[in-house]
Amino acid sequence: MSATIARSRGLAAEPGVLVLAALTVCALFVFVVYPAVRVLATPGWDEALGVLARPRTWQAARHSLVITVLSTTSSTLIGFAFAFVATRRDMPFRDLFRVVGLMPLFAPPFMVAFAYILMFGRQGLLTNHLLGLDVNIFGWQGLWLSQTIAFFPLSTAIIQGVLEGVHPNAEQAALTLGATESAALRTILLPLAWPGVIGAMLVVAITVLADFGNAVVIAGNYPLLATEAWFMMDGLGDLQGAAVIVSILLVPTIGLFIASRALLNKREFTASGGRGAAVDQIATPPFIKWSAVAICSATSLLVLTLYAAILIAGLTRQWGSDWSFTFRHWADTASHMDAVGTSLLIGALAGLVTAGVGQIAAFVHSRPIPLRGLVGLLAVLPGALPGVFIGVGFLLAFNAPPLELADSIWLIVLALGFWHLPQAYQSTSAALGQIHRSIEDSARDLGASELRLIVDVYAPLLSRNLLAAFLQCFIRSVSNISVIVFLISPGQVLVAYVILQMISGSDWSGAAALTTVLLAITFCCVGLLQAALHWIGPATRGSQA
Amino acid sequence: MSILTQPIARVAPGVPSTASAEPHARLINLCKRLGPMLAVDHVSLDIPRGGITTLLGPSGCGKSTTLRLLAGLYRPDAGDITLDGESIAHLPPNRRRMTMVFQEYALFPHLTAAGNVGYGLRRRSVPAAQVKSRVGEMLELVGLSAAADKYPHQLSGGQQQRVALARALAVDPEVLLLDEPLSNLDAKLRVRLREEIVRLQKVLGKTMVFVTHDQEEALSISDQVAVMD
Repeated sequence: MSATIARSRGLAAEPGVLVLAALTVCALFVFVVYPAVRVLATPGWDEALGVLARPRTWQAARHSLVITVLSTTSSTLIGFAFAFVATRRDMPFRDLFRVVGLMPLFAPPFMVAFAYILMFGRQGLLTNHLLGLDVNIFGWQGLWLSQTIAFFPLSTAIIQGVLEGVHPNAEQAALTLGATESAALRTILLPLAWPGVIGAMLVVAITVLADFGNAVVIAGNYPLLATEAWFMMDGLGDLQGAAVIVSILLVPTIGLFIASRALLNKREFTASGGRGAAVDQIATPPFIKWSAVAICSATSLLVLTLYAAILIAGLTRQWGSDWSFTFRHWADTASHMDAVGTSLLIGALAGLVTAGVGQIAAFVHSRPIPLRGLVGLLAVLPGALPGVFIGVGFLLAFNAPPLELADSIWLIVLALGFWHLPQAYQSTSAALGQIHRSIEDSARDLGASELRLIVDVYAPLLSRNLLAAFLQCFIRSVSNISVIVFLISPGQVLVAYVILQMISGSDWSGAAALTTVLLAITFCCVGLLQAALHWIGPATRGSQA
Repeated sequence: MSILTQPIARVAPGVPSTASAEPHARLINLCKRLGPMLAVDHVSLDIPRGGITTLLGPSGCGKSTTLRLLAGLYRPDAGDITLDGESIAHLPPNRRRMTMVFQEYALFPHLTAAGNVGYGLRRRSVPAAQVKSRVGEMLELVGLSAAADKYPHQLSGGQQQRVALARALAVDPEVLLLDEPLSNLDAKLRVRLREEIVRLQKVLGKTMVFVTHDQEEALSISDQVAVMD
């Protein structure tokens, strides 16, 4: 903020920057606004009313609402426990919970539901094979469990940020004023954490509403808005109907998105904190301590079950009937290497789009030029759009002239690249604010043009950030389901799509083996990222003011 | 790490000492290890009743740790602390009748000035009406009656520190502990607020223990200065 103000005091922008800004605005209009407008404008009144009159539409809307309330509540509760454990120094197994609490983030979007079918379903390893039970996990219960485990890390991250902002001295002050430890936590820490808890709930609710991967795998005969849109298109060939459904879905997600941004921007309560010495933290009362540890332990078991299920299933001859060990399915993944290759290519290109556009948009936003506010708004807008909305939008917008991209991988690349833009833009924007203005001034002083700054100053200083944005988009794009199911053309094969087909065709071991490949790629990327960040690290840190 | 010398100076000898023969609080051979460092090494000190005792020393000498031992925020590894002749070393901070003013104020950001000042009273289950009148009294004492409904982030640094003082004094503690309370303020305000602290001490007759690294500050406000190095 202050960095932006400082910069806006500078000279008027150079023409080159204005051209760049104009190009950025154009790109955002074409690839963010235009598809959204097409979704909202395409269905005629008759079509829209027809879809609204279907009882199934209302059933799906009701289900989406119910599951959102359930999954958001449980995810936030568990997320709070993990955040609490991570921020108290006297918690046992703290480092273990920290790692396990991140693991669901690396699971492809359909994996949690798939793994729980493998473990707890009718032919589940635990429920049926070991315990001899006949459990039906398909439906809202299974979806609730899957979404809870898949999305609690999102709330952990947000709540942890807020808890870390609470200065330990505040708790100590409460003690010296006569509060017991549990009263101090109740009257000081909890009220201060509230904005984070609410913020986490809003973010998780958006994610749950938009969740396609888990729903399509485990919801069974439980229609939801996100899956209903696909059913309309894939089952009924009704693209307009799908557009109506995703438009309905947009109403709550936009509302939640606006609310979350308003709330998380209002930081006055936590801003006064700053970090104190961890040693000054008061002792956590035993009851609270062990309750949190119990919640985290139970959740951790479920998280580890996820990965165990995929690994075991990929090495099992025939899930449910022949439990003998085999490498056959792993070997068979070789026949899908073209799908893996295409997915990797798409992921890499989408990552480049996200990182590149994200950096340019953040740079343009930091300049004192007209339309900078618009750029900022459009760059975060995709965060409010569910994947199925993006999918339908790109299909409507770019399937026919004037901008025809159908049958080329660019349709999917641009959809995924622009959809993941908000994270890249926001982290780059924040990092940009950290770079001291004097660095820019001295570069200008030495003769660099304003545009030249991007290449000479910002790109190198933001390399950490750009790499992280690239890889985040890459990982999520390679395993994406919700967008690609709408955009994949008959000739194309993408690994996530292939897995989905194998799951629905009951080739569970094959699907698990291919998911293992996807996980291996993901963890390789994370490892590479860590190594690369370690390598770039010191140079960037020194630059920050 | 540091050894406390005997009290070296008695400032303002003309003022009749309010301290009785029996010290109000005593530190006896206190030791505290923080991580690998022996932060407090056999510290002994008598704190007279109704005066300002200052712990003066460079940063890292263990003076803040000593104060936290007094408050009960740290447990001593060895040694004892007495208040009115009775050992309190085993008591948790909420039962020591000593309150603390922190360097960064440590105000509760989600409570108003009045809410902050009344916090300790509410923890003691004082009836709401009494809390209200006591809070009004304390805010008046520090000259902040007009700011009762403001939140900490709406107050200046000097105002925040006054609220912190009022909050610590509201519960009528036996001993008031001040941990470099002025170090985050600018020079002019620092002088003003330290005069304010001296005035409050005179008005209320409280026993105060004041930690600072500023020699001039120590000499100007203290009845007794203990140098730590």
